[in-house]
Amino acid sequence: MGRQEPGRRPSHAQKRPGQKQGRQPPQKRGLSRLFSSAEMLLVKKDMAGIWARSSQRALLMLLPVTLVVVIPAVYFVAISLLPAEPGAQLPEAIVALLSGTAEKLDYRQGWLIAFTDLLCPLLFLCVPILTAAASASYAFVTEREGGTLETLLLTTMDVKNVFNAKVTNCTILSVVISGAAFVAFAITAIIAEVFAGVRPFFSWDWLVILVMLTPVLSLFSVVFVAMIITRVHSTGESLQTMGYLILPVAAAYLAQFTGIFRLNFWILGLAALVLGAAAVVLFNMASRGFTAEKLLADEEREAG
Amino acid sequence: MDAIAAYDLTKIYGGKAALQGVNLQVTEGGAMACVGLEGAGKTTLVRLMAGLGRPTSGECSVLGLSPGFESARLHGMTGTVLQSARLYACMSLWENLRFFAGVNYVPKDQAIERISFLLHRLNIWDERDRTPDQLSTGVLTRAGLARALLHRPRVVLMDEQGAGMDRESAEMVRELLGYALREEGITLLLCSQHMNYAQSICGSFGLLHNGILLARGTVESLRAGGGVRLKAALRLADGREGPQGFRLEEGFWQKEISSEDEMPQLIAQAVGSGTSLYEAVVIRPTLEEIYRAYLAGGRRREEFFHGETGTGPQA
Repeated sequence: MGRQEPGRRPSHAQKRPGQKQGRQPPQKRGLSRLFSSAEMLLVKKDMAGIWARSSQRALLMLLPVTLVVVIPAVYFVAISLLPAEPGAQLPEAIVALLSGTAEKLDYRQGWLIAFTDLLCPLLFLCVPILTAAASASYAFVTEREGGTLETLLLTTMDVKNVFNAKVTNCTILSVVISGAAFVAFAITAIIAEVFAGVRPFFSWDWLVILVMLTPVLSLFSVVFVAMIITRVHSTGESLQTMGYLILPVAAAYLAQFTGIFRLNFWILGLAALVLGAAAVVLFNMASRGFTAEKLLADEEREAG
Repeated sequence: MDAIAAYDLTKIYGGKAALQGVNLQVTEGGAMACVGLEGAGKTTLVRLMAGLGRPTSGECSVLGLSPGFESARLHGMTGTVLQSARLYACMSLWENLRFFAGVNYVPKDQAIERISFLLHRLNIWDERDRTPDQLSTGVLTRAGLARALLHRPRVVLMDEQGAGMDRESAEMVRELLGYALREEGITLLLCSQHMNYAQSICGSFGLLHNGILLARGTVESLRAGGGVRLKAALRLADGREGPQGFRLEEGFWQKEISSEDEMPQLIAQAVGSGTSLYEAVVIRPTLEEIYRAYLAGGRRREEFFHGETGTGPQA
């Protein structure tokens, strides 16, 4: 028997006539076209697993609440308490960023609009990033840490299906939490706007953020964490990657407030397209790297 | 047909060979144990056979499939028990088994029936509502075997069974494996350093050491190949001197023999000399003793060929 080239299927391992096939995935029908029953089970298990861990649950609930309810509420209360002296005006740089909408408003109203238009979108964008990274840390790294990923890789599910199911689950979870966070933010902002007597905050920018940027950022963040799964050794280490993901948002925040540019409809749309393309590329790279051998490299070395 | 086969199987991690040129075959319905000390390459062998890695060189196949390339298909026909593979902490034992039955595409009614059967058979039915952190090591090992057998695999690959198991768990696992071998016709590859345990389950063995398969065969052929001799043991009346060539050990007069065919003659000699013979037995070496003999033989050969100064036999 000659030596086998690594990475090539051995010659003798051919299917024999009449060979029993074992349990194979049933044909996908109807609603289950997207996912097999095994993938659906995995998605449900991951959802339940994330929810069952109090630390994970607290992280996924407290982060959005802090970012889109607590911080804005504190800010709105602070604005309402500002001493509004006659003739007080917003700084010129802020007025310029609001592109004319602040001119007809008083001092407090101007600050409120500046906050909801300039800062709140960036605070909101942290939600899909953080929730996606947190849920992906559980779904990928915690599972690997706990030795259950190995058990999962011994099932009839293809390793790529495991990857797809986990990415889908984390992305959906992140989008759903972001959607709920937006509703909570909208209620907070509308109450403040009603009291301040200004126009509703919702605009085309918010539409792009909600419909395009949120799903894309969620997917990008999940795939990013999935890609580094073989390089990190603990959930804590993987959660630190949230810092790298938040960095561009912080940079955008700084750039906007220093007057370099304003995140408008077009920039947000373009960012969504670029991130979408990057997410697809990363997805394919991460999917290729998601092999039993790479995922279990540490365990294999120990075994060896 | 060979259900499990390895040809010149080699796996290298970071320059160190975990397996070197291993050749083995297990026929369908057979049970083979690869035994060896820690670091012998047992876990690597199971991992390669289970498709959790690809060989550096050489080939392996399970049921005609290449594990590293067709792992999902293969897992539908194999059940693997690894020490490092765990159950989900957030689910009870029952929920865990239901989940793994589901991801293995076992229909719901069949899954419930099969899980109930396995839990009863392994005597852990009463533990079904407990989460893994509430279960003992022995129960977890039994649960691991239940998980591996859920989908009625044709081949079972097991790593390090016997470790951390209490007597009851070991007995239950052995009993269920015996049932699966007899009634369900599974093929078993068991890798363990608990040689007596492996000997109580399997009929053929491979002796692994430092990634090399030193020898394989039945206990008898390994004993003969390793030059390990049988012992004739005679229990005589107290104070009686044993026949010539015998030594008293643990209350028996013992002597090494080449085969059990020598026994009738030895018994006749003892009786003929007027000795009161109460008991005569042939002591067979255990697998562990045979393994140690192979290791000692290997060391002697190494010393002979390399010596302390690195010179060959001519020196």
